[in-house]
Amino acid sequence: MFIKFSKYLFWLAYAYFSYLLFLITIQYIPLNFDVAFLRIKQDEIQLFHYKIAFFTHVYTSIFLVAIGWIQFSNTIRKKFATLHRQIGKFYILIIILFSGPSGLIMSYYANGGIISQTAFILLSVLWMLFTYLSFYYAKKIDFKNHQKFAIRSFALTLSAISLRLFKYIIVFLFHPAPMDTYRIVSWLGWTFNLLLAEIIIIYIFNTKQNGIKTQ
Amino acid sequence: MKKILIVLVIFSLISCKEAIKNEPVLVAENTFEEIQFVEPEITNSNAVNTVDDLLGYWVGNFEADISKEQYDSIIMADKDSFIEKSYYLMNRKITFSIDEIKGDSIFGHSVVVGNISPFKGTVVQNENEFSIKVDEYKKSKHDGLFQMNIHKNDTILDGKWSAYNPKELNIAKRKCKLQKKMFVYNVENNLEYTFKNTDKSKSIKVVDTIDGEIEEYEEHEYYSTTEKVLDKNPSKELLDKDFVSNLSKADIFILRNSIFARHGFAFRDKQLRIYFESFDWYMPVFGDVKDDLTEIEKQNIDLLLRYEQNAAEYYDTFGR
Repeated sequence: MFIKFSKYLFWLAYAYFSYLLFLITIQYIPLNFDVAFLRIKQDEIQLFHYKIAFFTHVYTSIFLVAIGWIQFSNTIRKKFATLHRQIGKFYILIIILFSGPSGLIMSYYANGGIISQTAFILLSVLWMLFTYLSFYYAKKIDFKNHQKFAIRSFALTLSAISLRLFKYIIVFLFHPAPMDTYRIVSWLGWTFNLLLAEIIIIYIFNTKQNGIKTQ
Repeated sequence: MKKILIVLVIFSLISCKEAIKNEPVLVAENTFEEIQFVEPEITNSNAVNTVDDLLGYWVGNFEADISKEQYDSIIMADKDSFIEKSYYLMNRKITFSIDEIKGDSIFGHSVVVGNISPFKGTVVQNENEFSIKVDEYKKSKHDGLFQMNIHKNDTILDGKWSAYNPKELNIAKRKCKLQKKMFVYNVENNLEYTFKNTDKSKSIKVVDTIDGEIEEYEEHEYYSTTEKVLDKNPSKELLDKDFVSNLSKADIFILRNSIFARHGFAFRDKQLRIYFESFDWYMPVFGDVKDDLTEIEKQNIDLLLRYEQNAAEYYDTFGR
């Protein structure tokens, strides 16, 4: 009962925060170099490769949040297996080719110095790695591992939401200096998700013999 | 006594909705009043022997000239704001700038609570004193008539002021004893303590466990700066991104305005005025200082403004 309830709550929050992410994304449409986050990235945005990385990241990542949830629907996975595979490929392609590498480039220029740079570089690398591995195990018809890495990959995708949410909560509670907050959430934003993902993985694979029921 | 503070967290998803603020935020004290004055040629003498010695900036308190009963009634009427408000109402500061003297005509401007009012009138030289009678000729609500005199070889300009529209003001008569002060721009003028805006606070609910009993009460949290504003002087050195990016919105606001304060900008914002007037070096003289800014200051203002805007829009919202 509690599990079911928290599941609904999770997807409800997911929908809401995706909408907020969408609002953040459209701040950058039309193309604008002096708005929102970029206002404090004026040195970096002069660089050609940063420009490319930033806008690639902003414009492609929103699709991951928009489609990612579909992959976890049992109904779709069972009844529309082809759709599951197609969306999956699209998701992997975006991360491996666009969002991931662009995120990695931006990590190098992250605000907050070496602490947050390390956090974001690690995040980008693990994100691409987990995503690739989930694809790799799906190809090998090892669905147990496929599911594990898909959950991990999606957990890191959701750090887009959790990082901002943690920031909001931390500022609300403690009002720390802005860059200190940023350093904290650069780590907390995704390690928390990954921890949660591991707990979910353990829970799923302990209660159901073969993980999420496949065909 | 064991004290454990637990701040109640009640934040709904809805409160995140303000998340994305797209409207531009107005930044105070960016605009300057376009008033031009003749820069007075100031003599070195603080004591007044000739008419020319009168030229310059005369500063001091600009107190309410009222009876004890009136004074008490104003204080009584103001019980909400801990008397502070009425204290500042009755004890203002003035910069009385005498800019030009031609024959017996005298021109200048007064600066009170950030209001700059040009005046003109006459100066009469008697055997042992000068007497000045000037008109704040814009005739706005805050304008009035000054009558002042100074004994020859004295340093104190003694004056009285009465408003044109006494009914529109709480204090219609004021008096002052002013001394001539040179305005000197000095890069080394530093902030000496942090800023706290007593007008801007939000109340937070605090649950406090005192000796096992739970009590709930409200506490005021003021818009204030951190100690970091004392670390660097934006008139003296170029600030770097690392430093500015970790400042609170109030820190940035105060650091940026400290640049204007050093140049003698007369703030209209009450909180800024009270804050800067607490430093001995601050002298509100000018309504526009943008031409006096140094290259370092201009660059720092640009950087600070950028982060100030960012802090205003994004610090406490859902976003980076």
